[in-house]
Amino acid sequence: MLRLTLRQARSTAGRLLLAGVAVAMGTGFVAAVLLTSALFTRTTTDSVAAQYRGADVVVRTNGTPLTDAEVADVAGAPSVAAADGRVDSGVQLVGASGTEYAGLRNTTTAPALAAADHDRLAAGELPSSSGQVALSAATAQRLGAGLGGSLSVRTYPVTTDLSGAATEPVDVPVTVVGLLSDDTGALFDSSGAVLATTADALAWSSGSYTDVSGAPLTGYSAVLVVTAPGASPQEARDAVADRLRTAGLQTQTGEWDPSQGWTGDAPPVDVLTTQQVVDSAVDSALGGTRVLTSVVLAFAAVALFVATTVITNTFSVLVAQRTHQLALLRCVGATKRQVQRSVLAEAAALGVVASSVGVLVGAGLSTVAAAVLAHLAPGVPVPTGVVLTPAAVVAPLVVGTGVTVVAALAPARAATRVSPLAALRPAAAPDLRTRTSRLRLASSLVLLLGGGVLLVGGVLLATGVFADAVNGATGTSDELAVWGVAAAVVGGMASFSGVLLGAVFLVPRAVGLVGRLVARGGGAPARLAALNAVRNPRRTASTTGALLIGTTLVALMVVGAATTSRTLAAALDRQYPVDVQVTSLGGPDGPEPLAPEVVRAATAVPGVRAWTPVLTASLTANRGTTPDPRSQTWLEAAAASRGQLASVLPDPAWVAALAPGTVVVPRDLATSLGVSDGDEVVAYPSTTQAQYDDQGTPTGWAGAAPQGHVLRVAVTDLGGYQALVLPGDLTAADPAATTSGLWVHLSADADPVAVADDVQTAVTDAGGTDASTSPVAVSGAAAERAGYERVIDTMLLVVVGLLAVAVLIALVGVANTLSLSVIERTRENAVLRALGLTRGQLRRMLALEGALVAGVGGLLGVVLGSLYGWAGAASLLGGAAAAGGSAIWTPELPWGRLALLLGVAVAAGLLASVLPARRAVRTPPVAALAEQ
Amino acid sequence: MVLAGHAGRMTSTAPLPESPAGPAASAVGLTKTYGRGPAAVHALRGVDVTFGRGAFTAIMGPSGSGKSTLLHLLAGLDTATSGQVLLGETDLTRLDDTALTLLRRERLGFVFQQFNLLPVLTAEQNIVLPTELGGRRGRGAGAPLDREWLGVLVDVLGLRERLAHRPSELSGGQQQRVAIARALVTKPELVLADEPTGNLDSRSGAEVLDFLRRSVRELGRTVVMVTHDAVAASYADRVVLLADGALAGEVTDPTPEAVTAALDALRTSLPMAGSAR
Repeated sequence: MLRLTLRQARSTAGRLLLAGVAVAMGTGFVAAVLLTSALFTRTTTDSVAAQYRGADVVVRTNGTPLTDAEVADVAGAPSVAAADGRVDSGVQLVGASGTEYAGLRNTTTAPALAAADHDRLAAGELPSSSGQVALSAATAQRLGAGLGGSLSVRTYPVTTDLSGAATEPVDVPVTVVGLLSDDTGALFDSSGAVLATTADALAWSSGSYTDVSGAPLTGYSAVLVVTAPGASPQEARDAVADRLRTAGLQTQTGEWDPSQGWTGDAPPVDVLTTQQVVDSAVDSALGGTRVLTSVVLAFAAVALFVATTVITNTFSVLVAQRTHQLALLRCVGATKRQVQRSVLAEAAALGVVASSVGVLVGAGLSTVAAAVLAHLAPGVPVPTGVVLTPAAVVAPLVVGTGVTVVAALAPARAATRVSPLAALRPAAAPDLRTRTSRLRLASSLVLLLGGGVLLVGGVLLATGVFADAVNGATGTSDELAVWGVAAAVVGGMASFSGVLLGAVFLVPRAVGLVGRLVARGGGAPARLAALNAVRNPRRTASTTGALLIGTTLVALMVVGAATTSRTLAAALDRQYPVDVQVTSLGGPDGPEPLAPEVVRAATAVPGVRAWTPVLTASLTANRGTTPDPRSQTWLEAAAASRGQLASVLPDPAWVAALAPGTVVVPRDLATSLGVSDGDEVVAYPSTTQAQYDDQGTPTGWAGAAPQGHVLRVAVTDLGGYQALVLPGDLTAADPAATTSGLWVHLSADADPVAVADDVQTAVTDAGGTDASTSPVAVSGAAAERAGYERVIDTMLLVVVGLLAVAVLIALVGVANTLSLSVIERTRENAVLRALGLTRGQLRRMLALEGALVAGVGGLLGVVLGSLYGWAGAASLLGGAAAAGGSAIWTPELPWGRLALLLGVAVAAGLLASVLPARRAVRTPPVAALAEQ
Repeated sequence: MVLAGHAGRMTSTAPLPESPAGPAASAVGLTKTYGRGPAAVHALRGVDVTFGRGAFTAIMGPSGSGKSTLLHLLAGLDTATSGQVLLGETDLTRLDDTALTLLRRERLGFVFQQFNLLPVLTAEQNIVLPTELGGRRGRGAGAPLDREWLGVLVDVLGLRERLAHRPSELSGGQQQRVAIARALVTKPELVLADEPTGNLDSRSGAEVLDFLRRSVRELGRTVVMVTHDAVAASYADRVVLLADGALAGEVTDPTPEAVTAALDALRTSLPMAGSAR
């Protein structure tokens, strides 16, 4: 039976090919992710382990450094052969050609531990007396010191002086006696770059630890322990812990969790086996990698899920086509189980072969990825080669084969339903139509509606629509927002499951509708294509559904990103209304005006559309008409004429109210000042000092009471915390106001980052950063906005790239379905050819069928994805905005990108029809008609 | 009953009185060989035959006599090794695939043993399919649908009540009647039928044959039918006998008995010769 199965599989290999491609793509994805992750894990483990080489147990402080007495205690514990204190700190090196901060470690005296240091020595010797260091060759070269050369170690003595006066650095001359190889994991083991004697290392690292009063503590950060012969690391660990407890230290033999807190003077000391240390270090170093790995694996799972639909379709068709053959087998005595097993065995064979190919492809991809990364980020040690861990090889194989077999379960069950009698009947056209159950429809609707309600409710909750109604009753609006986002996520997933479950009802109708529209005026071939596309509703639904998953997720990301980007841009416009600001930072004696040559240079940069110099002052203000030291607030103000301000702000309406005697106040600033529209405030120079009592409460003025300038408040939608006034009012409030700012508005088509850079360069060239003039800063929203957009676009690109695998597999599925349909309809196509359908027409008919299935999948995906994208962006941004006090989100439909997505789907559908059409056109009508 | 010699040198066939305009189709020295060298199978060995306009001709012969090959060559579905196939004035052997396709669409009608209706289309859509293959625009838009003619066909074939049904909802006989309507809808010069009763019970078969004959007598069509059933052949005006890829005689105004006798004579003179095909 097995031989027959395999022979059958071989004879229909062509039909299994595309299903195999789908499986291989999915498993390749999984394998690439796991192999890459394994590669990084191995590299990290190696470098962490190298750091503690030779030690079996590590005692590690979580606060106070370990003293020599404690090291002696450890050394005296039973089961311990040797113990040595380890200084793990950092130090600033000053050389002839530069200064560099490097990790600092002490040499060791225990022979079992010293081997590791000796092995790293590339030239010279290890430091043996004070004033000697060994450091990595690369660091030495950068500092301009060779073997035997001299350097300085710069230390900053810590004082307990609370006056805040900086202590002068002390440079200690040292000699380079050894050069270290820097191959072993410089990325993770940064603490081995400089080796010094224990005494020097202790001295230089003094101040790394301080007591509560800020006084420096000297000591070791760890003790490395070598166990006595015959003792296990666990025994030694427990013995050391006991001994330290006896000595009055709190210890623990597991990882210390800072959130647990502690009693006594200091947090407990970790006593761990080296294995524990490596495990936890790898854990924390790779925590991010693991999260990333699981996120990427989630995408791989989507891809594999899509692949299952391709497999199920393939085997359904194979079983249907083999009805006659299966019935014959049943006639000659094969049991139902044997028939079922033969289908499953064929699936398993396909799964094993395709998954193996997938693992090979994945290994190739991971190698390429590592190589590309190494190329892109020189200097960062990126592991190369493939680390074939059992998990990374076996898991994709098992998953790929399992998925294939599981996907073939339903077709295998269908095979058992073939009655032996079918062999005696003439081969009828396989009828794959299955009744769609009411249960399916009901559960689909429940999921769809329930999920939809949850989604909408979640979005409303997150955006704070209900906040006023329930505030105080159930919690803050922050909590509501979190619950809202969670509800929206669950609702979105539930409703999408409903869509997928209901695809068998929805998709054929949608394809039929679009097909009828397309077929209108297209004649019989177009109509046939439309009808053929929905001929087998379940197959069409699963083919389109597979594509739907990918396109929905891509559209979701695209729309979500566009909405986020737009909303952020709007928020940034309000928060940082000026595209580029050039500001004189002032000298030691207070603000200084912007030099005219700086203004000239900055405004001459191409891409600058409008600009205005602004008068700025730091004011103090309070409500009312008389200065009051008890309610004063800091007030940053800028001034220029209304026309000038309107020309550099995104919305001129923000300064419409600007008039003599009026101060335009951003809404957020108004809230913090406690003023509202129409109120009066009095402003005066911030240099005016108030007088304070013992409790720090202001009681009056230190000198003469300030004059103050009264202004009427006009609150506007302008963001940020800078008030705007007319120049006359500003000088009246503070005669020291200077023209220290230049506000620049960029033309809409300029690249904001490039122009901001150009302005920076122009300002620098004009002497803006010359020591003789006051420093000038260039900042602004334009570059920041572009930066955000770039980050969002990059993330979008990565996510879409990950989703592309699923979309690609779905398109393989479209080609698969089409080619199976062509095989099924060989005779029908031959009849059409006999009746006068030209080859071109047949080709176009199949192309239209492919485009219909793919196009409708794309269209539904774009529509659903847009809705989900909006909902997602609304709940996330709305939640954030609500928490921030301003609930705004701006829906955005990136038409171009969505049209591109749809276009790609349709084009891929057309492309998917090419190979099946070749086959269909090649079959001579006579041969097909003769076929029974 | 006239039994011609099996050498089959048929230089002329007298046209029937109703069709004075010359033959509808003819084959001249038609040869078809499958394969090469010693494995070559000679399906047709220089067949010369003429099919009169407005006549109902049956082609008979034992299995492998080449009757289906002849039909396929007449239909332009297969290419001849040598010789000519003429449909009216057109030499089919000189046409490329597209031209042959358009010729099939516009000038030929088909009736198959397996009915071969398209399952996704209704009876009416199946009938009018050949007129729609060209689309509304485009090359070789084909004969526009003649509604009146369609009405005549539907009534003659008794399909009026079945037009909205799918093939799966029709009996075999009904399906074959739809297929006949489809073959006639473009008023083709020649209707080719390949064992049209092979999959039908005798009553439905008789109906179908009656319709084919009526389409010749009353609607003025030309029909060439391949069959192995003597009773079916007896509906024709003339029976052409093929054996071993060559013409083996003919029977005019056949009766079932005459056809059977002619076939028996053929078998005795050619002991299992044609089993190669």
